[in-house]
Amino acid sequence: MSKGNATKLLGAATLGLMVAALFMVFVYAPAEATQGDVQRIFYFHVPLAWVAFAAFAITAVAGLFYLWLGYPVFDQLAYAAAEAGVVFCTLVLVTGSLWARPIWGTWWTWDSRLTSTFILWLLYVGYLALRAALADGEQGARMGAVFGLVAAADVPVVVVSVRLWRTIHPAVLVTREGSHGLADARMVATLLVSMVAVTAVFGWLLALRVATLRAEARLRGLAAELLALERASEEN
Amino acid sequence: MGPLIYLFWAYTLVFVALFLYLWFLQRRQAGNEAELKRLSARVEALRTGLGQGAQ
Repeated sequence: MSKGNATKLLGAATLGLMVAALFMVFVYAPAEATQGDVQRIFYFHVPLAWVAFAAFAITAVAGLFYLWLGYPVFDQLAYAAAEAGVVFCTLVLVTGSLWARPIWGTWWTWDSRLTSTFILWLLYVGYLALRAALADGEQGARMGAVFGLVAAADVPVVVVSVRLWRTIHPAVLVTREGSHGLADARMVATLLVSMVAVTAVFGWLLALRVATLRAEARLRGLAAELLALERASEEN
Repeated sequence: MGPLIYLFWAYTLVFVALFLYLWFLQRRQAGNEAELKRLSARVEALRTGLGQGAQ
């Protein structure tokens, strides 16, 4: 199977999963007892956060491999994951804010989980700005790899922030006491299907972004070759 | 309506953002593929002109 066909197949599977996830979110899962229907935001908010963290971890690991082995494909993967990670992290902040307004009575509070997530978002926006400011090439890729590695240190801080500091952010999966915030088995199933669906969306977008970066690298190579051939042609 | 408006906006924004990003990537890739075809043909024509042939 060619890469193009594999990407199309992934796209079709992603759309099917997304339809199933939406059905479960809005029809199958029961309304939460105290929060009501607004709690349904969590079925996408949590997977979006998981995918954003995974994306930044991929940026760090791919950057490390780029520094070690020097293959451009690792840099392309690191950049693509960071860009998709910023999209998903933005959606985490937006959906969290839309949930907080009716439940907490405020759009935003400087809670440890929210603040560390906002810092994570700023770090990866900074990564993209750094890459945009530096011309394509080895120097930009190496600096990006180092920046991506350092910035990824904030990911575990976000994850453990609800345990390290006093926070009003709910622990959806496992609380400090060991129980979880989802009372009904249908809620757990819905969250799991949403996790798979959102992860598939991320995989699809990542594959597409890597393909565009590979095509752009080939274009730069062809443009350089064309220039050399045109010069040789003029000399003849 | 009440709090349901927040639920509506959350899912609307998620899907609009993901759709726009997908559209941006597919449009960019279509442009890249067209440009690759154009440049490849030009390089091939120049190689032929210089007597290098396909490499």
